[in-house]
Amino acid sequence: MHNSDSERKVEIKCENVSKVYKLGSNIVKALDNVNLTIMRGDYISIMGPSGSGKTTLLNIIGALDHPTSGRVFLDGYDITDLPERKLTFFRRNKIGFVFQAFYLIPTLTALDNVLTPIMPRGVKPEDRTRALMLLEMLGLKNRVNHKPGELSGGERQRVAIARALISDPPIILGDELTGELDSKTGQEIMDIIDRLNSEFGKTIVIVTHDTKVAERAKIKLKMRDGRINKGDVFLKEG
Amino acid sequence: MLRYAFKNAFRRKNIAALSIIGIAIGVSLMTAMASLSATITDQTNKFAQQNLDSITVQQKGQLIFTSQINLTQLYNITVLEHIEAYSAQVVAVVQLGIGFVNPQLVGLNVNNDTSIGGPTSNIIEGRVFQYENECIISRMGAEFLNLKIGDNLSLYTPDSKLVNLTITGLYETSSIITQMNIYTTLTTARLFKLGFANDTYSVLLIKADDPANVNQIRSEIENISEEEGLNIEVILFEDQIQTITQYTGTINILVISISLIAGVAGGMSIVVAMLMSVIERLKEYATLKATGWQNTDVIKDILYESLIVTAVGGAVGFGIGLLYLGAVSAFFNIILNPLQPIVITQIILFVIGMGLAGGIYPAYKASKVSPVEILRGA
Ligand SMILES: Nc1ncnc2c1ncn2[C@@H]1O[C@H](COP(=O)(O)OP(=O)(O)OP(=O)(O)O)[C@@H](O)[C@H]1O
Ligand SMILES: [Mg+2]
Repeated sequence: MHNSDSERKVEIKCENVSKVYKLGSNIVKALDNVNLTIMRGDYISIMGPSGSGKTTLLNIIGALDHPTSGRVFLDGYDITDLPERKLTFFRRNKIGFVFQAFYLIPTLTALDNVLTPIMPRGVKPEDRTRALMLLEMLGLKNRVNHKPGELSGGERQRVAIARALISDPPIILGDELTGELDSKTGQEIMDIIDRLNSEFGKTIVIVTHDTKVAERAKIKLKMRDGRINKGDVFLKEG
Repeated sequence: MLRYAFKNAFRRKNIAALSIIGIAIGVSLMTAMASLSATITDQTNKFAQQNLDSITVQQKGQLIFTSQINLTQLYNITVLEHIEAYSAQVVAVVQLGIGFVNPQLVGLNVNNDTSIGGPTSNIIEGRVFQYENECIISRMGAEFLNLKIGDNLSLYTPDSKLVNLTITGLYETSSIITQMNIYTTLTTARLFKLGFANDTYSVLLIKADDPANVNQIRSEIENISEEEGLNIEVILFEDQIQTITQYTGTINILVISISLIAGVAGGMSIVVAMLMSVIERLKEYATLKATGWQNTDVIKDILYESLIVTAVGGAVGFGIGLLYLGAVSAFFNIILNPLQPIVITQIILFVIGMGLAGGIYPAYKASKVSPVEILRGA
């Protein structure tokens, strides 16, 4: 890690966060009073059985979803009650999401896909340069003008990672980001994630079912029934 | 952003093609109707401009070709102060060919007609008639009937005598109505009007010295008519133009209705196409929102796409409309100009309106996509 503990900033903080779904008379507690503090530069994996609330937690941290109760802070800002319009600011500038199914736009080249998050604000020449630099860094120098259909799964996921990095957000969130890749390709993708943490100091939170993937994180959390069970690593509670 | 819209507007080629066809049909109809209506309005206005100084005197309660007036009795009228020129005409309805064309045969004095700016003052080919059994027809009529100078028109008088009229010249006027007439000498025309004496005419056309004086002339004529017990009525061009305006008004309403129907059909096709395209791509919009697109960005993108598709449909439709018009112009030999600013403006507004109206609902739908729900449903 780059910084000593005393200098490190709190990046993400969940205070008594619960998410409750009501389906008729049936109440599902997807998250049950989660308290979690993630410092800048942390590298965290979350494992847990299906339905334990991993995706729900990641979406709330990623400013995609609102909790039913409790408070969520991103980079010191309370985003709990922000309207959609303001949440997009955090999504664009603070968060880079990487999905299991890549979700690239099939009609656009790798380069244009990387640029989609900033297209509404106008793509400047330096954005293009940055996108090319990211693609090159991820080993896609010769795939810049390929469309997703012409790329392998691993290559597509690397394009998606470049897209997540285009606005240089401090936080990278990955939900099953190796889920659709074979284990060798998955490990290559995880090498990239490791570098984002170690070289670029990104705060990383990944959800996975794969123990080998989870092992790479510095902090390994387990979830069960909407609660976080601390693993074998010490974690500050907010 | 526009680039993004461009790359995605034609993703589903068949859906895009269908909506382009839908819009093209609407726009082509609209192009044809709008330019037809603009041409008619334009012609009416020009015609009106040129004829505001004209006054018609005819027998009370009669049509132009059933009216009988006696010029000697009208002498006091022809010397009124503000009358610049006048021309008395004999008007008969005749049959051409096997009877499906019924033009008016108009007898007139060339000098008088020229002085009121009638068709004899506008000969564009050949010469005006000089002798009995000569006539002039309009260039449009000549092309329509496939006749040329030197050809004969065979006409039957009401007492079944055959009269052959030789075409000596072609004229042009700004009015579709007078383009249909055949002009000849008074004597020849009288052959077709049984019981018409030498000073009997159908109508007296008067040209005022100034359009501002036509109402004064009218009331003076009416006074004379009352004093002398004449059985005549005075028709100002103003009165006639009202009838014409009613016709053009009806045509315009027709144009607007057809355009509306076309617009609704085109708009529906773009709504359906955009909805299909958006529903197919909900995950993409969810992803874009998850990576920082605002709702308004999504709305803008879909409106752009919709406008791009309608613009292409509009261009194709305009092209087809030009083809229709070319065919109509060639067939009826009239000039239909679709490149008039008003037509172009109408089409552009129509296309933009359709693009926005067609895109707005799909855009709203896509902007309301919840990234959490869509991406979870993967
Ligand atoms: N929109 C929803 N409506 C109702 N229940 C929901 C909704 N979204 C999630 N849930 C429920 O919340 C719980 C947690 O779901 P979540 O997706 O977070 O689990 P997960 O740990 O990511 O599971 P998996 O490993 O299968 O992805 C589940 O019981 C799920 O059924
Ligand atoms: Mg999940």
